[in-house]
Amino acid sequence: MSEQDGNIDVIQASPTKRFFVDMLTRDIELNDAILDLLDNCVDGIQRTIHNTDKETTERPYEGYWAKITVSEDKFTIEDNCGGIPRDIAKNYAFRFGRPDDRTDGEIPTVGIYGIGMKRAIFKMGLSSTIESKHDDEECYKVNIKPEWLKNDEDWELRLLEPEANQENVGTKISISNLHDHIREKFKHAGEFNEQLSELVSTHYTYIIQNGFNVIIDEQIVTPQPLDVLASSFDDYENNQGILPFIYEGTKNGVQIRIVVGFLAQPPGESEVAEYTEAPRKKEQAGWTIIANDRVVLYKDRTRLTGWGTGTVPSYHPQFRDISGVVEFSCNDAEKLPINTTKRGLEAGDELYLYVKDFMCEGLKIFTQHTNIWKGYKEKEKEIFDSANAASIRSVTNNIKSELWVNPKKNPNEKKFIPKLPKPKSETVVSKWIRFSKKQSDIKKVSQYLFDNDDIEPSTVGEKCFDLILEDSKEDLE
Amino acid sequence: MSGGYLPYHLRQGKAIDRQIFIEILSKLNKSLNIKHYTYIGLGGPFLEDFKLLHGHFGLPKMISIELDQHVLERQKFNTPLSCIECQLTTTEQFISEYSSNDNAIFWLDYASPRERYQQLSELYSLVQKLQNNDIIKVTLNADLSTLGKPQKERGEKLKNSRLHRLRSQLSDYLPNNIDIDYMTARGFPEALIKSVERVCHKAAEYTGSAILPIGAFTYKDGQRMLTITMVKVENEECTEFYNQTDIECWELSNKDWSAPIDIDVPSLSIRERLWLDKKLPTEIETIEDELGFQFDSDAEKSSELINNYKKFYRYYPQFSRVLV
Repeated sequence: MSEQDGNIDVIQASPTKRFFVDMLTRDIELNDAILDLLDNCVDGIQRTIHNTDKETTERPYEGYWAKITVSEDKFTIEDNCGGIPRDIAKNYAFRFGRPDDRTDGEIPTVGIYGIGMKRAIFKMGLSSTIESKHDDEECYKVNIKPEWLKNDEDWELRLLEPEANQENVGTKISISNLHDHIREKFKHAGEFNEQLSELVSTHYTYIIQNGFNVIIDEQIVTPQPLDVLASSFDDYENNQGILPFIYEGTKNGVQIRIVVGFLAQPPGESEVAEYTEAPRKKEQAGWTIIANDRVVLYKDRTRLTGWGTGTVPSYHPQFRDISGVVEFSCNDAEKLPINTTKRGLEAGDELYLYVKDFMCEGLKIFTQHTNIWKGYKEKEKEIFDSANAASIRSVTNNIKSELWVNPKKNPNEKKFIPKLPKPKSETVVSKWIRFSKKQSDIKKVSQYLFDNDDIEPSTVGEKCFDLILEDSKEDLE
Repeated sequence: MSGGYLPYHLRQGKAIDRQIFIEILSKLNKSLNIKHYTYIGLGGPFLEDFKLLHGHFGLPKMISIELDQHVLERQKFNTPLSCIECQLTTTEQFISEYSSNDNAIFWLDYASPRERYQQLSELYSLVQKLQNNDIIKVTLNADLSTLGKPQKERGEKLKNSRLHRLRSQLSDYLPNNIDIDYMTARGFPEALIKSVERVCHKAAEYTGSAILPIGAFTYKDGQRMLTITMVKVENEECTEFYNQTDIECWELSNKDWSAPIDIDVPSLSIRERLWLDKKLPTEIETIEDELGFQFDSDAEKSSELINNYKKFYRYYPQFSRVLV
């Protein structure tokens, strides 16, 4: 019996566009969707400069730019990053789903054509126009309209001739007919732009440093450097300085670099208490994970990056000046520990789990330092005074070759485990005592001990302990 | 409990365990080049294990970790060899700063029952950092009374509360299948071995290597202690390792993280010892009849002690008074 018989009930199992649109956009934040678009720009540059002299220069992205403009009813991103080739546009870029395992082979991109673009478009609005010009090909234009999105019969789009020929070899995406919640955000364009600029300045720091210009609302975004404190090697050797923990290696074709250390002298007890009571939104501590120059996780302080796992303590304001960076680079994006939504870390990835052991090893050295120096803040300051911010990528050059160790007798790996100075004291073991009491009671004790009811609670507590300690000595001896 | 002031060198169980450690190292020496290893341990005021290891293998570099300044000074006074470096630090700190391209023998000789989680955490960090073919020995307090004494509670109820206490002490390091049946004097050390196994397995999971157990023992000079000796071996070499090192056919080995062997030997006078040794290793069965007395008021226990002596007589220490 064939379908043509007409006497059977046909079940509709064909997809709806709505399903794809929902699937594509459900798990992504607006900001991430915009960063996806920038990723596409950078991938475009990578493809353009591949096998040219420019690829190996210090600033390979020099001369390339992307401009983002938002208003209450429109989002636009325009770039000069190579454009989408016509055949890619016809066969891949606008397709729902991934037609095959098309990847970039030898080019260190992070994206697979088009997912990011479609996702960003559908995240923001119902109408869009994509104009693109690749190489010396003719410029073309694609319009996506709300009617088309509603129509589940028509799965084709047209490449059209644009009214005016585009000057740049690049792409321009305009999204309008914005969703209400997006319109609401874009209404406060100033605030939104500021947020986005900050995000771009941290997440694209290396790419911007390498010459790429991101222009948001006509302002060029400046990169936020990724630094760590490093003393001079002489200071370090004289037990007067600090250096970060560093791991460098290649595993399964992926190059890995881990650097973790201090951003500043760790806070004293009263600062920690203040921070604990009123946590700040913007914290500099945590792990930043970078895949092919793009930040996929920024300043993370959760179990994902090892905090509170194994022997590493959970994040606490005492550690607010500890910061680390992990860089992965590989020409084959598939090997990177990033998940298919691109902007996230694949926490269960074998390579990442392997690397995480080293991250914890390094992190632990610095959490421990903050414990050891707790009672010696003045002395500790001397060590930090002579340390300067060094870029994550250049700090490696500070380390003498004989101080590297090879963790597993594997020639592709090496690490530097710093020996940080320790306070001179009879015993190096001390423990925190932390407790909370009624403020009125603290005032009473403060008055009783110091003739002043406004002494720092930690000082009051410490004094109480010292007094009892004296008593106990007399009694026990 | 801090071990810094105890007369370790006079303790029988510990002395035997230490001799067995030497035997293990000699067996491993067939495939590993022990004489080039660095020894890292908690030597205490007398650095007994350091003397012993250097005596047998001539290790060129030895590091003692000590956290008490006074014990450290005393240690320096007692240092029997110039190649021992005494460091004032904690095991936790030492491990996190440890950086070496050489192979090492670590003996984490823990005593305190209150810090089991911390101790296993340190083991975890160490296992992650170790090189292949590094050797680790861990000593843990395995005395059941440290989980609660039979004062208010008894029987099943006591077992439950001890298990609860152990679970809160070890948290995720304690395997889920440890139940109240393990809450006995012999079962508790086994529960700890399984926890050590879990820690080692988790820590080595992504390193491409595994931790192989070699031997595990308990002894009770005061509180019952558990010691486990292990080696970090590359995954591919694991199957061959026991064969290459003679561990395969050693009657005291532990290759599967099973219950430890208890070093429970009678205290013997010199006369008793010489008499027993003359009968060994073959005529043990007739000993009991000829002896004419028991080593314990319980006949069964007495036979067990004699059997244990047979197992361990080669490692049995002789303490005697010396006039200096």
